[in-house]
Amino acid sequence: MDSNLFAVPQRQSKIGILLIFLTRIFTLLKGFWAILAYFLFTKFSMSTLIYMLLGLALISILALIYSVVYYKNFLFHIDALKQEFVVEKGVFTKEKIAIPFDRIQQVYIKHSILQRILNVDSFVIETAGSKGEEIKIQAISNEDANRLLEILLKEKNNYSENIPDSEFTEKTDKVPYWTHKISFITLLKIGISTNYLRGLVLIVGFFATIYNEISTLSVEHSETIKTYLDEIPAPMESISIFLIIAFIVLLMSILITVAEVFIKYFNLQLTQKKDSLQLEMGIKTHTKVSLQPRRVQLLQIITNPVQKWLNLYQVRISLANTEDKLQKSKIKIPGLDESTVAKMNSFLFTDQLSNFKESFSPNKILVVRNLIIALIPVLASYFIVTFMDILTFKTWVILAMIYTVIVIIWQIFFFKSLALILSEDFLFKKYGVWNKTEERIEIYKIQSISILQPLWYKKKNLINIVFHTAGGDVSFSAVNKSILPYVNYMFYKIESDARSWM
Amino acid sequence: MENFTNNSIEIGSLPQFEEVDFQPISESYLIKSYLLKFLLLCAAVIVWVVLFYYDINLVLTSILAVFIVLYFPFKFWNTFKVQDTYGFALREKDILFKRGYFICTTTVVPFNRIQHVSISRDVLDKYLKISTLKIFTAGGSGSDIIIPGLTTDLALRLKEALAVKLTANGL
Repeated sequence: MDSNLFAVPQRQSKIGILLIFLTRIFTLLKGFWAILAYFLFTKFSMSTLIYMLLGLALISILALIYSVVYYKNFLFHIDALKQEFVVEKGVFTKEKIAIPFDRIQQVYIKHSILQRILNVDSFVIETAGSKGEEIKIQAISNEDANRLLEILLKEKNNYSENIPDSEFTEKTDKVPYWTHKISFITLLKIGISTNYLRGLVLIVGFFATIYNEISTLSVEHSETIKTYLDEIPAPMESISIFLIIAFIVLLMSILITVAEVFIKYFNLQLTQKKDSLQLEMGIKTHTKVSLQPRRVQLLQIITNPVQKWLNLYQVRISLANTEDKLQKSKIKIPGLDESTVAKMNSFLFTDQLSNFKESFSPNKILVVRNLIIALIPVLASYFIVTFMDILTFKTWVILAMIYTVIVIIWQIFFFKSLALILSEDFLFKKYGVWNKTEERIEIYKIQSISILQPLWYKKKNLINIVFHTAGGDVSFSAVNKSILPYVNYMFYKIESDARSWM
Repeated sequence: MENFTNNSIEIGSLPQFEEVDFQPISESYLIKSYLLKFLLLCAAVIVWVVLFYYDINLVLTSILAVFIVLYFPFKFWNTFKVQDTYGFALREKDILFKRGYFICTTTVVPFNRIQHVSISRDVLDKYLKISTLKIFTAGGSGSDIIIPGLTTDLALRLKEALAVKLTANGL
């Protein structure tokens, strides 16, 4: 068979040394160009030039040695017996990576301009999972690359079941089951009812930079400004000015938020076809996504009291899909009414029936922990205030008290909102004071589970649990150990389920 | 559904991961951790000496001194404590790894969720004849298992065993 070709560990194309060397030098220069430019322009003299050239020569030599060692140590081959692609590499630490054929998600060849000149290719093998887990052979000759691609694609296809092509299915199910469109009014409602914190932050940032610019540019004028400011504070007037400014800022942040919503979600349309949900939206970047149930890793449903009253829910979906890197990120779909959310749910998750439903809440100690963390800034600010002398002690006390009261109320409500619900096939987490979020995972799509026990939880029989999925982690803190049988049940579910998680 | 007529018994009778016996890692790893901490300590002391000798900044020098005196003894003590907490276990269908003294973390990765397995050795590892076994999943860095301080032989055998399980599961 062809695979004999790569049965013996082999190196990259010899010219690869040059490629590795040049890319090394390039990245180093990219990192240090600012320093180089600084020395060239500010302290230019013959001696600095000589030093610099010497330094460059030294770096080049080191980079060359590095490249040669890297080239010598980089070996790859196909292990036909174990059905794996194996790469050994590393300069300081040697690493041996073996990818079983059935774990390969994608294989492709690419080349940069430099590689085209040198007549070599990059060969990339992607596996599902985080970024670091792809293998890249930097310099492989054209024909070798094509041969390897052919072999690996063949092996990979042997393993993957016959998944119908997406184009193919689209033809067979042209008729949509239902369509949900978002109207102009709904967009306006979304814009007004989402929290303006982002808009507020943007405005504050904007004014802060402007203030910074002014105060640095016109130090000499600052005296006049100060005297001007000193003249204002008759208490009534200053309050009204403050209110007006606050009102303007609020109005602007609402406007910004609304504008953002319009740009992002204009013409949002959700259509259910036979095998997938089609999503289209946006002005600036037109998004078009096809949501297949088995790609969905994590689903969040978010609403706040105002939006709930307006019957608006936001759904966020984490997809795992290596074919398109962009889709790995979260997809936000705002402005869905309750019935549409229910329809989506029943389409994306089939077995909703459950014989049991167990709910867990965290121990009260979590409030204490969160309060301590939240009150650290108060302590820190005390030291800053006393050392830097920005505020008077009295104002500090008042501000600290207000902050503390808000934090305590917030934390108590947050604690009360926390719940972890387990059913036969699903795991739900609910949380949120204002923005109420419900996260949902299909148990068999969990990748692994971490159980954390801090020393001080041991006596109280409490643990923290983190459920890792390909779409992000879901964690739950300070829960009683009585949850452990259910965690074992989850392992049973994951390990006995033959369905592929994506 | 018929499996779950009496779920409390059913769930309670499943195998419990918390009952598993963990195998410790090699003692050589303790030497490695100590060596690394020691190198860090040396670097910190050198920085302090330079600061002190050239009389650069009194506040900075004293802060660094306090930091060295407090941090490193704690770190050495913690290293010692943590060493005993490292443990791994293989079950029929998953691998378990625990570590941490103040916060003891146990991560369980089912075999059918493993993406790939690799072994890495750095300079110290080579000298001490140990290896690090890395087990990657698609669930991000928190989800991966990285077992340090396995004897070279054991790491290899584990990797082989996992590879067998992976191909068995892949079909």
